[in-house]
Amino acid sequence: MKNFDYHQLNDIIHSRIRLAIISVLITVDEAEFNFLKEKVKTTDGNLSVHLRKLEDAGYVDVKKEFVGRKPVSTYKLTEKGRKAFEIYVENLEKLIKGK
Amino acid sequence: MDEKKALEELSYIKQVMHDSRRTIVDNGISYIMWGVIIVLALMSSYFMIVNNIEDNYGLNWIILIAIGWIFSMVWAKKNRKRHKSSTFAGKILAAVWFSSGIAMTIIGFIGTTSGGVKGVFVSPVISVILGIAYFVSGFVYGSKWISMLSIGWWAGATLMFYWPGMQVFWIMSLMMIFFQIIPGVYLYQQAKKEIVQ
Repeated sequence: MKNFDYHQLNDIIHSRIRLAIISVLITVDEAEFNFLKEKVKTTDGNLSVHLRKLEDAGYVDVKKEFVGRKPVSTYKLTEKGRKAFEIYVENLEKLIKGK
Repeated sequence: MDEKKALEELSYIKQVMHDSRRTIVDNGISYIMWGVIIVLALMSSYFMIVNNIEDNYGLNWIILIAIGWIFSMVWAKKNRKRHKSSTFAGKILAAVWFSSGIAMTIIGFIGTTSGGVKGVFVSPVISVILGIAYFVSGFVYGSKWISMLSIGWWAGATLMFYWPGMQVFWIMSLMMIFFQIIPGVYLYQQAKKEIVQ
């Protein structure tokens, strides 16, 4: 593995929790906070911090609403996030193939 | 990051995606409920005809189908609240079954009361529609066995078109049991397993 530039790996995605969040969001149209928490297996606080980073990067969109009296946040992967994830996976594959 | 780490990362991504996709699976409740309703309607119609109590013929269908639709709407509303995620595949499936349900209701009620569809041919026409719905569902689920059920529905439709008569009530009931209720029970058990995991 000589020619691979490690900086090609996106720092925003290159974190276990954020990678998991995007991997979940890529399989669904949108997902509620609790669904993500269940799938990513982390705490509310931790998930919020990572979701905020993804939001700031423009990788996820959030929709906040009330269902009954309960506040519900629903997250959706943006086109920019989808593209970034695809590039990230491509780079991982390049790294494995040794290109 | 070395190659080993990259491989681990990729397999982690695959595992998370797989785990997330599993939640799409249908729990089979609607299949069981509609299957039971149709069998009850078919059998009650059969016994009404055999015992010459045809004054209220059709009322059994109206009551049972209305119960089915009310149950389906309540169930859909409950599911919308409970489902914490939505998928494009899920939306396609909901649209396929909703439109099929509407089409079958029109054929069953409007078709027969207008005289456009002879009563004896309602079951085969509905079987054709169910065949389409199962074929598409299997394709969306990525499940061959669900798609294969459509062959049973279409074969049954062909048989009922060529062999109309009282036996249609029995043929359609058996098809409902084997191609809808039993698969529904299997899906229900699978969904329960997924929840436990």
